[in-house]
Amino acid sequence: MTVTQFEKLLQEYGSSIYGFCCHLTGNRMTAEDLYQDAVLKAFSKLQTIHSEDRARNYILGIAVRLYKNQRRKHTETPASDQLAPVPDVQNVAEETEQQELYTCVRRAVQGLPYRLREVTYLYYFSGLRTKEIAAVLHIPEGTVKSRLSKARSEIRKEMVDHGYETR
Amino acid sequence: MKQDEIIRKALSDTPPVPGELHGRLVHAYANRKPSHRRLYIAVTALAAATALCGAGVYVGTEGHFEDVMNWFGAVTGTTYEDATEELKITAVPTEDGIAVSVALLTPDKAPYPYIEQLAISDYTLKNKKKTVAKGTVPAAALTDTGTEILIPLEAPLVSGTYTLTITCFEGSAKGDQPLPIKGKWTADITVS
Repeated sequence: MTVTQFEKLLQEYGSSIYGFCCHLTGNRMTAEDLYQDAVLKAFSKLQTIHSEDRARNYILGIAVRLYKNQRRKHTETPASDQLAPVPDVQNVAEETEQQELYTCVRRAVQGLPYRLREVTYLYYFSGLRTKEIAAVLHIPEGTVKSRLSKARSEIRKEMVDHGYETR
Repeated sequence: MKQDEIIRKALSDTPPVPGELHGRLVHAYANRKPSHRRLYIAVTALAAATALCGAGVYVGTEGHFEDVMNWFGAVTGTTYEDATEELKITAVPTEDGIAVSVALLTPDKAPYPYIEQLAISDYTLKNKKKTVAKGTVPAAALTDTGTEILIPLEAPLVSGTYTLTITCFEGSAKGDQPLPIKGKWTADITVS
């Protein structure tokens, strides 16, 4: 992969990967470090990957593993990131009803256990299919589906608790 | 709105990658060190192939010493392997058995200058149908050029063609442990 192709890759998928890191960590500073480390680690492999889609999934996989390692080393991280405030939410009172709903969903996702959370972000935010998520996380596709199902039911429960109806 | 759509929209709002971070990564990629992995693999493969070819040639042409180890890895003895090209045998039937002349083709090369006696450690004598005789033969004195060893037979050979195959000699010298000299030597014998 040439420098131009690499730059194009970051322009096209960088925000998606970075956003995933933001969601995963719940903290922009940590997300920046995670994004940077994941991309740097992927350098050697990127020279042999020609499909940009595969390159993105590869970097996402590295980010997931790096974050897992971080969590193992610093046990306080998962607790703090679960409690981290939702980014870009300044004033809840000014939100419209729909924005309130989205805020509720984001909080519900952030409150999910890590295993459910990473699958939820990869599926709903990064737009990966269950098969791709299975490849990224090195787990069976059936496990991805069951985790997604659990995540959905948890989110639904949270939404119902806040008075929202779901289909 | 369906739940999936709500979740997707709720999570879609993300901050852009900071420009400085993007620039730093592109700069790092442009200045990355080239990977020498392929070159390393090629050089390693070439070295391995050369070593293997060398070993093949070595095995085929020249004898060499090898340690004998026990189950625990301790060296308990020494053998001399692949000596086929260093000794030449001829066999002639006699009244008492078969006289085997052993000629040293490399008499100055170790271990031959140090061997005082040479015995046949393992031989088989076969005709077209079966093995006529096999076993070991006691040592005979070794000179600078070779030696002659008599393989005794219980009964004289009947007429026919025989093949004598020796797979191991045993060299010995006073005060030294016997040295097995391994290889494969054959000689045809015709009894009329």
